[in-house]
Amino acid sequence: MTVVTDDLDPLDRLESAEQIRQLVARFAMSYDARDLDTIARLYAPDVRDGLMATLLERMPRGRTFHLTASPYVTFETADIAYGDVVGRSEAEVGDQWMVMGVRYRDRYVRIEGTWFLHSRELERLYSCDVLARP
Amino acid sequence: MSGTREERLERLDAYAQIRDLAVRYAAAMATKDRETLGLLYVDDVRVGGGLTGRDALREAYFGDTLDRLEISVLHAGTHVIDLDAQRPDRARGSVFTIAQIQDGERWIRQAICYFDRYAKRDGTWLFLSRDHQLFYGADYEQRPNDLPPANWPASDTGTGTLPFGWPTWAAHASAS
Repeated sequence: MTVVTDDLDPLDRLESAEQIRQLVARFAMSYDARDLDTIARLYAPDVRDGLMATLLERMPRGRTFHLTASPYVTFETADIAYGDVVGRSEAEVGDQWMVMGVRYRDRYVRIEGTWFLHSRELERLYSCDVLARP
Repeated sequence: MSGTREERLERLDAYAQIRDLAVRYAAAMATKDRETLGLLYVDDVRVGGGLTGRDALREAYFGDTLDRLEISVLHAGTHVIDLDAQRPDRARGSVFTIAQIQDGERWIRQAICYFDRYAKRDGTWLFLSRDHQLFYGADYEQRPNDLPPANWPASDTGTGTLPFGWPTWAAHASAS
């Protein structure tokens, strides 16, 4: 398996991977803090309104805690990349405390030097109350 | 990112070193390596009560606390790093961490966010300070939902200060 499939300038690829790691981390923290302005700025401008509407619709009222691992990133071009992020998320739902193993499949785009989240597909590997076994 | 090749490399190095700090801290906590824990901070670290320095820090933060805990496994995850645009030798960060702790007969899980300040000294990034804020600490047989306040470090279990302490959380909660 080849990990690097592009022929980008190594310094540019390192910077892009770093910006994308920061994007993923900032998204997770902003979600748990309900910092909607920051989340909106992380979405690409052309999809921002639609993705924010969906996000708000699904946002639980209770507390959440997202622990994400570093994404691995694959570059299609210097300005389009795909990320795969595995994490653990927790959510207070009524009198239950849900724990989930999650995987996000992301698409990122770079516009005028800044990386944005363009789409995110959520896959739940398991989901159950913290006192139950998956 | 902009700047000369040298400046760009320096920023990448900052991110890498700072990420490493959080992981080294977790590893040193797991092995109760007080020597290393001290070395991760600037040598004139402020400890409070007018005390400064690594030895004072080891005594104040990594003394009784570490003795009391038998097993303490920290898993550092989500790490947001903000390099200071004005000062290339300063940065801030937030590190989401899950801790698994043996406290006597109890087996505890803590959800934590560390709010960090970093400084670069002689080419090496170090902690200026770490502020441990708890989401919750709970025994493995407890749900975190309705626990009394932990007032950490008074108690390892209970409801913490997060997410309630974030102004954005309060604004969102009152609006919905």
